[in-house]
Amino acid sequence: MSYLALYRVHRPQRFEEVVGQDKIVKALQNALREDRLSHAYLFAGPRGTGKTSIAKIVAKAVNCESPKEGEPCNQCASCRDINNGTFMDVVEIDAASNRGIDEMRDLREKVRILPAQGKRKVYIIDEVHMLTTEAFNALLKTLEEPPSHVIFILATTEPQRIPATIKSRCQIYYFRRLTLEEIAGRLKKVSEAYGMDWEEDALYLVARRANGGLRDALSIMDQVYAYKGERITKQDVLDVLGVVDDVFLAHLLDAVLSRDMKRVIEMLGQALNEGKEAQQLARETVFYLRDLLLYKHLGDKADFYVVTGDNVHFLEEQKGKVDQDALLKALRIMMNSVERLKFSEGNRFLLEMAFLEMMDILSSSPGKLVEGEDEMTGDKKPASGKSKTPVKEKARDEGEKVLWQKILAGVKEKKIPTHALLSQGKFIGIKDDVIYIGFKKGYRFHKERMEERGNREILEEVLAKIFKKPLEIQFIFLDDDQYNDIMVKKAIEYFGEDVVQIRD
Amino acid sequence: MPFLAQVKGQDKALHILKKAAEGGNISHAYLFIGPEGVGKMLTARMWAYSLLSREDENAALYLREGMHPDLLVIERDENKTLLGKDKIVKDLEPWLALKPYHAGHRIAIIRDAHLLSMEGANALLKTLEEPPSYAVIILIADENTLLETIVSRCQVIRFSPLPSRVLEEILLTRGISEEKAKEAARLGQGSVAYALHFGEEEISKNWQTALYIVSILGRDGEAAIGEAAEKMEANPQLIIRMLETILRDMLVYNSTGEELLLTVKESQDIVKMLNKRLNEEKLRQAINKIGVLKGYYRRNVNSLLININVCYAVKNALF
Repeated sequence: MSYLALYRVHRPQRFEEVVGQDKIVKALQNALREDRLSHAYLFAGPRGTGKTSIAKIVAKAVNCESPKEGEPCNQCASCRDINNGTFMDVVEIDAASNRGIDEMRDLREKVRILPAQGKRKVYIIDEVHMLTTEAFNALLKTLEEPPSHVIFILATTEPQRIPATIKSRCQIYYFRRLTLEEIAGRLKKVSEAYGMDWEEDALYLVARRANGGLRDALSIMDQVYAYKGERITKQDVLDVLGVVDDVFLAHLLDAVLSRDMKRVIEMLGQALNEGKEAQQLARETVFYLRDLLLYKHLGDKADFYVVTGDNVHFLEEQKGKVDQDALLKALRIMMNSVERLKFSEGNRFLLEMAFLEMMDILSSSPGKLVEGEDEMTGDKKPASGKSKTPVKEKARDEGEKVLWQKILAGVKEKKIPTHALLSQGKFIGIKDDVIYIGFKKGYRFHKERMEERGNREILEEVLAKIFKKPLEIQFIFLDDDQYNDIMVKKAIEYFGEDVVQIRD
Repeated sequence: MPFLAQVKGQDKALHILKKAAEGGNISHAYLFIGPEGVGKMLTARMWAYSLLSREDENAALYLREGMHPDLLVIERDENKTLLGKDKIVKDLEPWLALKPYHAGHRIAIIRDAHLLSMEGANALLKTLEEPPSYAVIILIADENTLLETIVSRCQVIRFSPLPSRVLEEILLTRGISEEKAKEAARLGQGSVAYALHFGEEEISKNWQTALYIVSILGRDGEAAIGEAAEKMEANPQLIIRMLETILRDMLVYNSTGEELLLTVKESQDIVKMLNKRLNEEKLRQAINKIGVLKGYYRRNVNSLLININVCYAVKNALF
């Protein structure tokens, strides 16, 4: 007998063994017990959550010679035959390979024939989203009113691709991803059954990597088992998955935060030479940054993806060094590079570039943070004459920013398209009951639209509300002196050149 | 296993496969994933050979002729861009339905599985999940763009880029001179296929060209674009890689000053020669840009046109 993959051996054979889909199991079991099974079901959900398995259990339960409480016995001839795939009245159809109208017509013909062996005919149509439109339509009539001896079970990972007319004829069950605990629990049972000795950390690592799919989890387990044998540590799992551990990531981020370019490049080089993939490294970094972000907000309550156990102290040390904006930007950079690394062969350099870019963003953030603190707790350090002016200017900037946000918010409430136009502008200042709003070169369209009556009136209304008096509005172009020269000059005179000039 | 000895540098992958074969727990579906040209196909073939010859004493004869009845390689047709559904439904499925002739297994290798069409990939799902007991399906993919549902059905075996040391060894056994092998290995970035390709080229001459291009672009700016693009035409695909390497080195040297981190030592001379502060941001952008442009050479675009774009990217990085 040849070897069977773990996920095939451990396919649940009874409702009781199904992990994590309690509601669905209960509903089906009740229906079976009271003999009120519908004639068509649609099982939808992500991979490895039990759709095909439950379909097979239902097939057994309706044909079983001595069902108990809706459970198949797995002992009688029918159950055994179904398990071996030799039962004539349970037909498993691969809709992806047989997706045309001819196959469906053929099915329609055969449906009429009474069951030969069991009580009812069960058609399990897997990957049903791949049927062509014609095939779906050919199925409609049969699906609505099949002969009383027939049950259809459709299974798919992509329910959004199933026509509404099919959906409305079926009872739909949405399968959910399994939780970490459920997968880990199942893995533990399987490992015990085989006499494997797994480290707790290793089990959870596999469970986390499986991302909600039990098949993925068992696949990985199978692989690690084949690679290493009975005793398995976290390191073995990391080896097989080709990923680095959280301590390495923590050190890497430390190097990035301290702007130690040499160390970053050395560490990346080391990892790549050990055979880690560039894309995988980038992805792991994304996970780590995500964990850090969560930790910043939730502390120990966060549900971590890569960081385990005691290594949380790295997060504790790092969380003060970055602010959220920078972290989000860094995340975006890394996610982009994961996408790009999918396709390119110049792997190594791309990865290095992504890290260097991240270094720029992350390491500039602590400075900002310190500055911000100074401002708030100004009495801590006596402000020297030098740093006084920028702080003041900054405060003014801040005030204007808030005001501008208020205006934008007011406009948005009234009319969203107007807000879209206005948001491309920049608030310059108010002088003698005239508000000046600038538009950059290339935003001529926006400026002109804002000058139209409808939009202008909306803005006027909002301004009057905020300032409690009517204001005149003046839109100006900022870096193209060809247009309304005089207005720009006036604005520069009022507010100073550095305000009027727009920097990118 | 004499067959598997032909595969170099993929110790971890080989270890898993050997263990599986020895322990008799060969899974029904494998996914070999890793960059282009690092030995995935070779490993798949060799592993299949070793499995078959263990079970079938006459296997050597059949394999020599490349027609063992229990080994099937599914490849993309040359005039197609994708692996279609027909390949799966008409070739693979009926073939797997037959019992093995000589050996204990029937092994199907699907090459370039990342090129499977949407229909093809979906058609494979059921077979991949529960094939007949004697079947072994090996998918080979360069890029991880496969369906989630496919990956979850396979044991994933990762193939890593080869360390320069191993590349060098391989090149040496192919009769390439030592010095050249070293250069080509560095440029190959872990891929045997590329390294071999470069091993046949006049590397040192091209290096000079690449260095020259960067230096004139750095000195004369826009005025040198024409000349630089013309120079690149000598061997655009090779030179663009060199330019990429040089820019990266300049960036690294500029901010660390470490010679050890450099791929090419000459890069630091350029940094010294240009004698100005390099803008890291701009260098990074240029490298990313070149990374994108590199892909265009394989498409239907006039290479001189790409060269000009590349030269502009280099120029922008230096000014």
